[in-house]
Amino acid sequence: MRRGALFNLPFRPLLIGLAALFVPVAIVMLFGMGLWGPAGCIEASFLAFLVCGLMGKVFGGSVADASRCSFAWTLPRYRRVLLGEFVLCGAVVSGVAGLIATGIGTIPHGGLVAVAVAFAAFSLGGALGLVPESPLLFPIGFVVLFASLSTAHAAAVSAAAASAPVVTIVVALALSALALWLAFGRRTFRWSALTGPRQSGREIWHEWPKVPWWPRHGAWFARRAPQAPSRPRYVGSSVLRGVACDSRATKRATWLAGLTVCALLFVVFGPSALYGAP
Amino acid sequence: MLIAIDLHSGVPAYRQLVDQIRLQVAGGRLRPGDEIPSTRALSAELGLNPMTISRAYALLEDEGVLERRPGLSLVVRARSGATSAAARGAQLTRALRPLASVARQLGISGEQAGETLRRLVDEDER
Amino acid sequence: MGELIVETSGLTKEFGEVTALRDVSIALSGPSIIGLIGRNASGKTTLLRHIVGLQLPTRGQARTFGVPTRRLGHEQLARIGVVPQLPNFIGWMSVREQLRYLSAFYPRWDLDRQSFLLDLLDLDARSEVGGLSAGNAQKVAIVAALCRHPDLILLDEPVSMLDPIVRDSFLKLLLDLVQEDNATIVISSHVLHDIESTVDWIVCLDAGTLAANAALDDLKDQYAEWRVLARSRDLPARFEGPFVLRHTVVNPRAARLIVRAAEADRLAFQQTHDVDVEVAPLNLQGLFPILVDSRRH
Repeated sequence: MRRGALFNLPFRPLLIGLAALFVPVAIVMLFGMGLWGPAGCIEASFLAFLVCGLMGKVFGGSVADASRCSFAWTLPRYRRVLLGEFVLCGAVVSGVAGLIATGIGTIPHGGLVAVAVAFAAFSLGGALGLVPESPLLFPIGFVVLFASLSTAHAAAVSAAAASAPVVTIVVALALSALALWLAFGRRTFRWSALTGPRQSGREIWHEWPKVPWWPRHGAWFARRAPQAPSRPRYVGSSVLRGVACDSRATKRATWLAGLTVCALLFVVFGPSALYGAP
Repeated sequence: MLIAIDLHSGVPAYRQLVDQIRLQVAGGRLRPGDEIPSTRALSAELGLNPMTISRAYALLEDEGVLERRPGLSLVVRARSGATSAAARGAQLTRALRPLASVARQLGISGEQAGETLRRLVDEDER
Repeated sequence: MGELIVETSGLTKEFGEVTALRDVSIALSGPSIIGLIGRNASGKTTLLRHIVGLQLPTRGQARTFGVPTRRLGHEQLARIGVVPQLPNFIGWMSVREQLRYLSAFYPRWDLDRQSFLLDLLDLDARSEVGGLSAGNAQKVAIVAALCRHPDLILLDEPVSMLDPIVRDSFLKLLLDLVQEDNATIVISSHVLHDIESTVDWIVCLDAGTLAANAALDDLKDQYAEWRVLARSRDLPARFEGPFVLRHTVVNPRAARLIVRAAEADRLAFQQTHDVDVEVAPLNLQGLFPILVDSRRH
């Protein structure tokens, strides 16, 4: 049961298995949608990076929901178990990416590079979801990534990464370690436990004052933070709602429906994407 | 043991407990050799903090009202006639002190007050 | 009394310009029930968070179970049960599922106590956690905290949201826990009437400073209200005396004094001023404004 610290949150193990089978569908489709020339591969790799990053963000979101629960701080080894299961998910995702890259075989040691880069993307995505600075970093990172997709710099970075695989692997693993350390460190965990649940439906800039080093606007900020970094909005309202985590389990039926659609798309468009390269 | 403790009174709970046990011992309702309920039992019965009860018991032990038998619960200590009479006298003095103040306020002399008291005690005895 | 559970020395916590705690030094030993009282925003929640290591002091030190709070490891944290003021859980789970999720992390989880508590607190184990009212969410937090027999239990305003019948049973339950588990319980509340019946030690905070740190019985012994009635001449306008804290004139021959004095002082006072003094003891409700106020004199 303890092994399901993260897995038992939004997902069920069976669904994780099914999802793992269809992750290749998504990645292959993305590869397929790009062009198969060198330029196409570069764009595709950035997109794959994005996919892995988003998956990390989703899993990181579940971890965030768990770590913001009031029981999280005193639950023994909770941090460690969550980290372990997060890394396990990351290993699966990056393993799949590695397999695909090996299959395509455009760069030397392509498989290992893909594993390292995918894991780095996953960890960074998770970190962006977890760290206190996330409301600031996430939109910035997202915008930067999309902006760079279409510039010449993207091509240069990808070419450099492809030409020096060992360096790329080392840098990627270092980034992963840094991201995981930031995301699962005590400081972040402490901040999460104090901040409480994520408020769904609020604009992201409402979250900025919660970032620890947000410049203090003197008295204005001091008045806003008398005792705790944040207070739920409805404290003091006449009807107190139970404060509970927002994470709602996606129902099994929704999952199966979504995966079926992905599978159908793969069956219909996949073969032409893989083999019918222009 | 029939004890009533007012937990919201300004008088500390342990003191109320001490006073009531002392009164019962002096009045004979608790006889020498009678067993006193354990801290746990009394805490459950009265809803009192066990610290309070231990403190009261310790105080009564020091005073010599209760004694602890090795390995067994507390019992009321047997006292000589002189000490029990002195104890009862002390109880009465304590109870009458505020009334003395009332008498002074009303301008009633000690003699008159004593007369009233004698009358009341004899009356109720009948 | 027993083991030193919580110790702080010169604990100060500042949030920017606001000082939540100012030079608080306490030493709490157990087993015991400690009442942490104070007005709103006096620093009670902040102090409780420091005990569990959730916030770190700006200056000074805090130690729990002898370990500095910034280094509290999972062995110490497993011995602490926390019931926060506004608990939150994983919303889509039922109460039973949530408790089962938590129980997997502890070596000793008392299922008997779990069913007993669910019964005592009148909580339906099948209800979804996300849909619970604030009071019921707090009940879940109570069950989650107590089922693993913690040595230190921190309760932040636990009774304010419980209904009166449950409140009563819950407070009696705390007394049982002290005896059964040898637990040390710190209960923070601004409803004095309820906790007065249960606590034996009082820590009072006022705007972040320590206003009182003593046994409740000692406080009741030390502080009293004196009703002073003149015997012969009118009362003076002011009473000199190091123990006189407040003076209210009722009429020229009667006054009410709040004092911190012993019996000997009373007798001497009666002699000196030629008055009759009637002592009215103060309960926690009556003590509180004096504790908070006298610190300023």
